[in-house]
Amino acid sequence: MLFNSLDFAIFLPIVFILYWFVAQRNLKLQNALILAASYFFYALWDWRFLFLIIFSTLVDFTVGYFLGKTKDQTYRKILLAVSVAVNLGFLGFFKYYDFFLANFIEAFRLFGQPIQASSLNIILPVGISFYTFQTMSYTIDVYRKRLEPGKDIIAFSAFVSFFPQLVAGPIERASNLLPQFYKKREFVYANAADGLKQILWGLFKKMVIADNCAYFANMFFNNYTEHPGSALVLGGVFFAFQIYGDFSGYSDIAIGTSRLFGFNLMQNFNYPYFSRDMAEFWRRWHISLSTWFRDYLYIPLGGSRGSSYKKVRNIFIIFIVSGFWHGANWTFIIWGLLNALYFLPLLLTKRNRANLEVVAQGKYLPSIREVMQMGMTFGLAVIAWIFFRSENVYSAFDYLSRIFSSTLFTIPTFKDRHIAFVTLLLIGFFVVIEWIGREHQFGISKLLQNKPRIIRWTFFTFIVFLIGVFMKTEETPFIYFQF
Amino acid sequence: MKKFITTLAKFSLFCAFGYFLLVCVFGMSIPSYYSPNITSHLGGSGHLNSRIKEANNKAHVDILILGSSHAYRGLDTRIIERSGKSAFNLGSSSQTPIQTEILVNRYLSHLEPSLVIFEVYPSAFTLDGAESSLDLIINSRVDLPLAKLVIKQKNIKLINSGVYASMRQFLNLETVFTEENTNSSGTYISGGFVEDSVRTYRYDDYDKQRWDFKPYQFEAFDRILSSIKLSGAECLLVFSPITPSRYNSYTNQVYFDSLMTSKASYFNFNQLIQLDDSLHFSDSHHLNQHGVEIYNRKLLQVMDSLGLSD
Repeated sequence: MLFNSLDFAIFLPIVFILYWFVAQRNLKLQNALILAASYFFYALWDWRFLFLIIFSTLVDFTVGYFLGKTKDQTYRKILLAVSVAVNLGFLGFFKYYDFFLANFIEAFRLFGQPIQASSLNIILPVGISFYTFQTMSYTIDVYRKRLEPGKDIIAFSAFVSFFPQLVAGPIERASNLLPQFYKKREFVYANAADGLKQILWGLFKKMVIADNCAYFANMFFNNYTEHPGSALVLGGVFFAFQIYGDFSGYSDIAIGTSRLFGFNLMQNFNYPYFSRDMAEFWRRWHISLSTWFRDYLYIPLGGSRGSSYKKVRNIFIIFIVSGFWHGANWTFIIWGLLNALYFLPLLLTKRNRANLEVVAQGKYLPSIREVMQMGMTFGLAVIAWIFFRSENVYSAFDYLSRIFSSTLFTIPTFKDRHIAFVTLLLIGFFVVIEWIGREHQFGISKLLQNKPRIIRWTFFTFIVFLIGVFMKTEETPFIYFQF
Repeated sequence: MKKFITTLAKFSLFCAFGYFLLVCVFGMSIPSYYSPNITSHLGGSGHLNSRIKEANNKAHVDILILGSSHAYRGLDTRIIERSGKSAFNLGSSSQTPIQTEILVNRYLSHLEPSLVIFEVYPSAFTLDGAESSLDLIINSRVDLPLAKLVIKQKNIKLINSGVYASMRQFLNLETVFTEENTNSSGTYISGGFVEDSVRTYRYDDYDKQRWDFKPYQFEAFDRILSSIKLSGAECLLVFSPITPSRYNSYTNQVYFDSLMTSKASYFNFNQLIQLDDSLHFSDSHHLNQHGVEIYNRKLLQVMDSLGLSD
């Protein structure tokens, strides 16, 4: 079931009504309802993989239970290892088995020892990378004694499978989300209204910006040899907005939906394209994953402490692992590597925390310097996105080499240029709204809040209208479902 | 909670009204190619606008032709009228049974045909019908059955275009439009046929494929046959020729033939006449005028043999 589908538009109000009207007085019943709704939501994709979630949930709940019972450090380490092995084992098998197999075969072939092995063509269970990391955060936090082990299996299962963020995050920390399942939720008008606004903005990002950009990004990336360098630049820009609109749109809908049920999820995107350097970009892009890696990988490795060698090593590890998390393809690894190269000079010159505050805070417009910094950062991000989007590493390099050719300065001609023009106008509108709202949680969070209701409602209606007029007629899945 | 529900209900009403207002304003002021989900321009490649206007002014015909572009580009009313009977072709682009049903309900009692020739191109039973519904919305009047169909089809483009067309209909703006007789698809001939300039087709190979039929199209099809039967008209189901290379690529033709045979008098002209991929077709599934001549002459023979020309 997709957020941008009619099915979800029916499913959500039904669950909302049952949650607040039928199960309102009973916390256990509310949690059970969320669990049932979440399993139903997931089963519509593929009910067989539901058993995987249930198994993973049971393993982590049991490990958490025994971690709470014992003080024996060796036993605790074994328990943690079991949880990590089960979770990463599933992830490794479903996501990376075919990749490693293909690379082993290729490596043996290169050394003149061809081997026979057939790929299993494994189907990737939707959301496995997200809920696996979420449950791992639970066992690690319990192991570190930063979190009490869960005692309510229903609440814990609902935490693992919470439908708004089950398939594409935000990857919640158990320490933030799990306690919310233990305490009574109150319906707060302002939160629910804000949640609806965030859902609306998320739908706009996905259905208007991402899906329209996808059309052109696909056109340019799939046939990049037929287009001049200027069109390929446009292709990179379209993809940059596609992936941002798609993923941050999903996150907005997830956070907004959670608010309707009285939950607060973490912010996952904080206007990353208004970043002045790549370090700032990475503090603002896919925050739940970046901070997960920071807390559970980077800091345990030593973080930015120690010798320069260690710093460099840790940065490369975290970015390469982050790239690999996205998928079993060398393009993602190069994408991670490239971002590490972007980040490294900032870290080594200690300028990685130079831009902590919001750009042009309290001002209408940025300075010329800030515009140039943002433009440069966006350009670097686009170059990295070319690797992320390309079919393989060769295509990515070829795409880049065709950009930096004499055709870069030609006027691009391609099919549906008038629609591309409209899409650029829509991107312009989107960027302006995001710029205005950049100091708040999402673009239209506080927009026109002091204006009369009629003006606010007219604006929201205009957003609905833009969705209705520019959305694609066929439902398009979110990009991050494949990760 | 009460405040939330009430405010949400009020906003929904406000939003629905504002949305439709914006669709109308946008439809009137912005060309269709800048607004992908509002089709505001009248006409189209299938000449449905001209056909509907002509049908509205017709009093009675002996033979009514229904179906997709295979009907209006394959069944030439000028040739069929050689049988001594008047004919009118109500085919339209990608028309599927759910749209044919609407046209039958509108025109069967009005045109009072004694024979209905229903062109049953199997692919029409595999489509969701959005393209044809859009053609009907912009080129004919939006009435309750069409509005119901649009809601059932759950396609935002149809809803937006339907709202815009209703507004135009309400303000009586559509009467000023006159469709060009000739466009890229051919020349409109009085009686509903569209004559293609003679083009030939280059043979192409096709991988084996199947028609994946939609059950609701067959349900609509059955209702159409009942309506025709109820009106007292005879019904002849025809499958117009497509290129042999394409026809032979389908693996479930036999199933389709046996299904149609069980419904009414059915003739698959792919098996009754021999045509050449290049000489008689303008593309892989549309006849050129040479092919139309051969096909229609054979059709008249079939009608003769069935006593339908008397």
